[in-house]
Order: sequence, then C-alpha cells, then structure tokens
Amino acid sequence: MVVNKANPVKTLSVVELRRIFMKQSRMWPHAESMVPVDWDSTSYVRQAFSKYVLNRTVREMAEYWVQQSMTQGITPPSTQRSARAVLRFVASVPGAISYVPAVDVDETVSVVKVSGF
Amino acid sequence: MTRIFALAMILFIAGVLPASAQQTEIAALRAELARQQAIIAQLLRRLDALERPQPPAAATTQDLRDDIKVQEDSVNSLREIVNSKVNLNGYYNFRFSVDGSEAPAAFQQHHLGVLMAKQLGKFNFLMELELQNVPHHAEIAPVEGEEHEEEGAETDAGHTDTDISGEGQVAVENAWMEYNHNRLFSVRFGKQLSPQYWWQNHYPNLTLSTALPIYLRELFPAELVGVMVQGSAARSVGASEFGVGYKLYAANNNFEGNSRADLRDGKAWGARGQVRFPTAGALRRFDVATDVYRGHVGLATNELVEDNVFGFESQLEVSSFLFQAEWARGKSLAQTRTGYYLQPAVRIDEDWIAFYRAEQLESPRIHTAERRHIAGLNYRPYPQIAFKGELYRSQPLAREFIHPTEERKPYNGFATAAVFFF
Repeated sequence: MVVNKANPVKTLSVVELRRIFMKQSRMWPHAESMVPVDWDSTSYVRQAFSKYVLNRTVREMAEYWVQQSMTQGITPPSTQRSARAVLRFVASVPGAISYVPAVDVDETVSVVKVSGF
Repeated sequence: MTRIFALAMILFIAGVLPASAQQTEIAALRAELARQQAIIAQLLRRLDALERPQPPAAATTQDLRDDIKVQEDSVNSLREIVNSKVNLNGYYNFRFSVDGSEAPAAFQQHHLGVLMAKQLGKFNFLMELELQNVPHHAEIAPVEGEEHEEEGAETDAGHTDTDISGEGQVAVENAWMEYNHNRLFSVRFGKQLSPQYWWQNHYPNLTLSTALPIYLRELFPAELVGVMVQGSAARSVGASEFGVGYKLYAANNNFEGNSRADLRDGKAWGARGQVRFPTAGALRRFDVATDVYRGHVGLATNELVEDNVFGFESQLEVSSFLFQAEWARGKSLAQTRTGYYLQPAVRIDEDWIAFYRAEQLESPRIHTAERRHIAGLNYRPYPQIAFKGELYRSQPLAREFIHPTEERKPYNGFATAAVFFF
C-alpha cells in the first residue's frame, strides 16, 4: 500500500484497509480525510486487490457502490489506470491511499505495511 | 629444342596457374574477414549504445491522457475535501403487472428518483426527490388511520381518498444532514427512512422483486422525521470482524395528514441493535438485528392511540446463496398484527439471480390476512441495470377478524420491471 508522504501511518490491518476502501472509515488519525484510489476495473491489480482484501469481486463491489450511492450518498473511490498515474495521484493528494506492485514504488510516496492476511 | 621449350611451358603453366588462384582466394577471404570485422565492430557499438542508460522517452498520448485524469481527480478530491461537490444520482423503475385481483393490468411509471448528496469533512447531506406515478396501485395507499365499519360489513381497507390514480406525486423521501464524529457516534437530523433492512434498501436497484413485502407498510413506519443517533464498533477476527451497531431515534408520530394531533401527543421513539458475525470461507455475511418502535397512530377522529412494534431480521450470504428474512409484530388498541417475509435467492452467474419469497400479513386493523408466494428472475447486465420478471400467488387466510361469508379468492399474477440507476 502507498500513501501520501505527509501521512504518518506506517501499518494497517487488512480489516482497516477494507473499511477504508469501502468508505466505512473517513478520517486518518491525523485528522486528514481518507481518499482511497482504486485501479481501473479491468486491471489485474484491481481484481486481485478486490478479491484478497475486499473479499468481493469487482462486479460485487460495483453493486455495493450502487447500494451505497442510493442509501448513503457515498460515491466509489476514483480510479487510475497505471502505476505511474496512481503514484502521481497519491503524491499530490494528502489523504490518498492506494496500491501498486512493489516494483513500481518510488520515492514520491510512503509505503504502508498490511497485517492480518 | 622447340619440343623441349614447349614441354617446359606446359609444365610451367601447369605448376604456376593453381598458385595464382589460391592467392586470389586468400585475398578474397581476407577482404570478407575485414568486412565481417567491420560489421561486428558496428554491432558492438550498437550494443554499447543500447546498454547505456536511456534518456526519458517522449510521453505518449495515453500517458498525457492519464496525467490529465490524475490532475482532474486530484483537483476533484481536494475540492471534495475542502469545498465538497454535489453527487447526483437517481433511479428509474418501469413496471407492468397483471393478476386475478380486482386491480386492472397496468403499466406503471413506478418510481423516478433523484438523489443529491454532499460531503464536507465530517458532515453529510442527502436529499431524495421521488416521483411516484402508480395508477391503481394499492401498495402506496396509506392504510393507517382508517376507521373500519362494523364487523362483517363491506370495507375498502387499503384504499382511501388519497390513492394516487395516475397523476403522480412528487415526494421528498429523504432530506437529512449527518454529523459523523467517529465510528461510535454519528447523528442524523431530518426526514429519513426507518432503520429496518428493507426500508433502508427498498430501492428498485437493490431489491429482487418488483413489489414490496405485503407486511411492510403495516408494521414499522416507512420513514421518520426526527433525530437519529447511531454508531458501531468492531473487533478484528482474523481477516474478518465481529461488529455491533446501534441506532436510537426520536421522531414525529406516523400520522399522515394531521400534524397538530401529533404535536399534542408527544413523539415516537425507536431503537435498533445489530450484530455482524465474523465470516470465513464460503460464509460471506451473517447479520442479525432487532428493532423496537413505540409511537402513536391516528384515528379518523383525530385521536392518537399507542402503537408498539417489535421485530427481528437476518441477512445471510453463503457462497452464491443469499437469504433475507424479517418478522415483526405490532399492537395497538388491543389488536395484534404480524407479518414476515423469507427470501432465499441464488446467484446463477454474474448477471442472473433467481429468488423466491414467502410472505404473510395478518392485520385486523386493515382487515387483511394474506399469504403471498413470489418466484422470479433478475437479469442484471450491469450493476446499474436490472430486468425483473416474477410470478406470484396470493392466498387469503381465514382469521377470526374476517367474516367467513366475505368473498376472498386466491389469485395468480405476473409482474415485470426495468430499472436503471444513474
């Protein structure tokens, strides 16, 4: 997982991560709004993240967001199409959090370890 | 002498000519070697050039498009955080039904809803406007507050002067703001849906059937105007969690058409407790909840009488099997009314869901005792679009509050609907 450099968080549990990407948690401990960023729904990275972290397929998550939009007025996370785009987004938005393959991580973002798998 | 000279020449030619061809061949080979060496040297130079670190490649059109999207999303996210933006959604539901009851077959522009939502830090706002254009549709008719005629007489329970008959009505179904302090505490003010599962998720995109459960409007009120406090706590269990949640609310009484009477007689209140069990493997969801409501309902004489409702519900998801059930019992003026539904369903594949629903309502208040069975299919080519088709059978039940001579026949029906969420 990668977060903005200004974010002091260093570790997250898989349950916390699920809450963030399902927008059930809203604020970081340092009072910054959480801004989860997904990959495009067709990407292999998104499909793997959805399956192993959110415990739902991409399609089931789309249904979840229809439900959330109607009952809570909450929209799904914005999406990006490449590691480069994800990194640039996370680097430019203070509360942003996303995921990229380890080989693509660069110094513009901070890495967060995930426990509980 | 001449012969000797000629012989010598022949020997010379025979001896010298092969040596000259060899030299020529050697020269040709040397030339070829030099050419190959030049090629190898050229290839080595090319290899060196390729192995050297490359300067950044020029951005492609796709890279530039991605960069533009990153910048737009970044700005939008910052706007959402700092200034917020309005999210606009809505839904459309077109229904056709025909059955053996007295209601005629009808095309119904059932619902057209527009939702506007805005988030600003810890504050949320949501508003929903809904156009209901439902000719001959008993489900939306108010049924409470009716004074029934003496026992055994013909009544028109469930149909009042406020029935909508094709002209439509625009209603504010939701209009609330919420302060979300943290997971344990948030407070919501305004007009909002009752917290029971079906009321919260009654939107046509989210339900499998085209019709509400028959008991729904006769037990817990559909909506409330008031204040609701809610929160939840959870503890991690492996990669899942065990969670509990609560909701407490105080609201106006559920008495349509006479707010003055409501003001005189105090407020309604309700509570809900919910438990979410940890999941693993094929078990993907297991929630149970209980609800209580204590309020007043109005009589046509403008009197309010106490009304108490109590209910249970559960949602279960195991692999591709889904199960929902709700049960509730209400009591007012010494009359007890009960209702439930049980709804198993299976995801046949990503686009198709089959379901069955058994449901029942017994209410002396509206003079109804009915059981209904529904079996149907949903085709959802996209999460936002649903095509529904279902067959149903309604069976009247014999109860002491319904006169045995009253003519009530079972009937079968068919309904279909198209739904679009945008």
